[in-house]
Amino acid sequence: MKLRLSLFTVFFIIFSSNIVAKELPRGLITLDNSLAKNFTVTDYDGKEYELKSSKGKWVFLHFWASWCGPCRKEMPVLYKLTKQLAGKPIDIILINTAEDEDTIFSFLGTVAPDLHSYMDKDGSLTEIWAPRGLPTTFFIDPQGRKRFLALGGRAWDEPVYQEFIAQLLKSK
Amino acid sequence: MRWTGISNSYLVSNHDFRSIWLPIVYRYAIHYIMYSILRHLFFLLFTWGFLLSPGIAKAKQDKKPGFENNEFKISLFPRTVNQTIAFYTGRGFPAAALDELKTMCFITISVSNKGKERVWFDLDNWTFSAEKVQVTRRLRPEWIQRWNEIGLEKRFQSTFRWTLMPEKMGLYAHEGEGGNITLLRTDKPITITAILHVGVDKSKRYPVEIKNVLCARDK
Repeated sequence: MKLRLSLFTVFFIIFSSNIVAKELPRGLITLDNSLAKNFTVTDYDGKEYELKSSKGKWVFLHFWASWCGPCRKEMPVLYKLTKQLAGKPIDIILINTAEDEDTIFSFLGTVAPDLHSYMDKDGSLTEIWAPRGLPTTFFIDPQGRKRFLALGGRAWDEPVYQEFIAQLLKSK
Repeated sequence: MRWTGISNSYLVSNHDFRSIWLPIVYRYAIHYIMYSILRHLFFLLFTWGFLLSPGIAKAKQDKKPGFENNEFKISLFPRTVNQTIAFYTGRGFPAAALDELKTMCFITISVSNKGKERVWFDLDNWTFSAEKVQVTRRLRPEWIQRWNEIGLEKRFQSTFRWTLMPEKMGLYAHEGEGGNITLLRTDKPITITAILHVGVDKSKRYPVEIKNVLCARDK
């Protein structure tokens, strides 16, 4: 009886998790589930964003810079993704690393005019988050834990990444 | 008997054509096809042989220095002063910082993990030498100190740091990382040696040597 109960518990844990245990898409790695430290950033209009305001939702936290080639390449796909995920329980937060308003504004104007980015003006927030390079995307779960990291630019519109995000959104 | 006109002056019967001329035509056609195939094969073999010859391989390496094996690939892109200055001018760096950058030799390094195991690099064990004399690499703390002396804004310092090659890293499967290393300028060819490790436990050790790396010059 005990064995049956244990087996049932194991299967329950495995199957009740909505994040599939199968292999992650290429370029994504699992993080240590540590709590993400709260921060506040502003955009070029002075509008503020605080990480804790996204509690209860996933956060797609993306660090980028206009001088980085893979960042430039990824922007149109990110724009599509923001449109696609509008209204879903995920906040896509772009944070530019250490560039000024004019640079960001004129850059986004050419690649994705409706894409919105916050600014890490002196680069100190990027230092704290220590991405492995630029661009880097952190996935923070609705409880505020660091769950996954995407290395470099990713083709988020490809089915494998779409499925990954869909699975995230199903999970709690 | 019906006559088939080949030309006005050369008339043969259908029978003669089949029995005499057709075999000759076929033979020439087969010879022509075989000749064409052999000619193309010879051309391909000659071209491959030429490209794979040591001289050409060396010339290619001289153009784009680097190193590659089954586990990882290292590519080097020496930057001219103008390229370096253009990049940082475009990011709004002030003149004092640009003057500082002009004194250094910038080489963009890219390390790509080609396999599924972790690939580790640590710039601490990379050496840079020209004619067996060490070429000094300016390290991050020295840059910070220099930038603070100049009074460079933090945002520019941050951008600069992000354009430098990370000091050490364990690349995941198919991950690549790149950035600049900064050396004191020299006109002599530089030899770079490094040791990279592969595997979660860094059990595999790969010594690397890249010769004839030149600080790029503006023409």
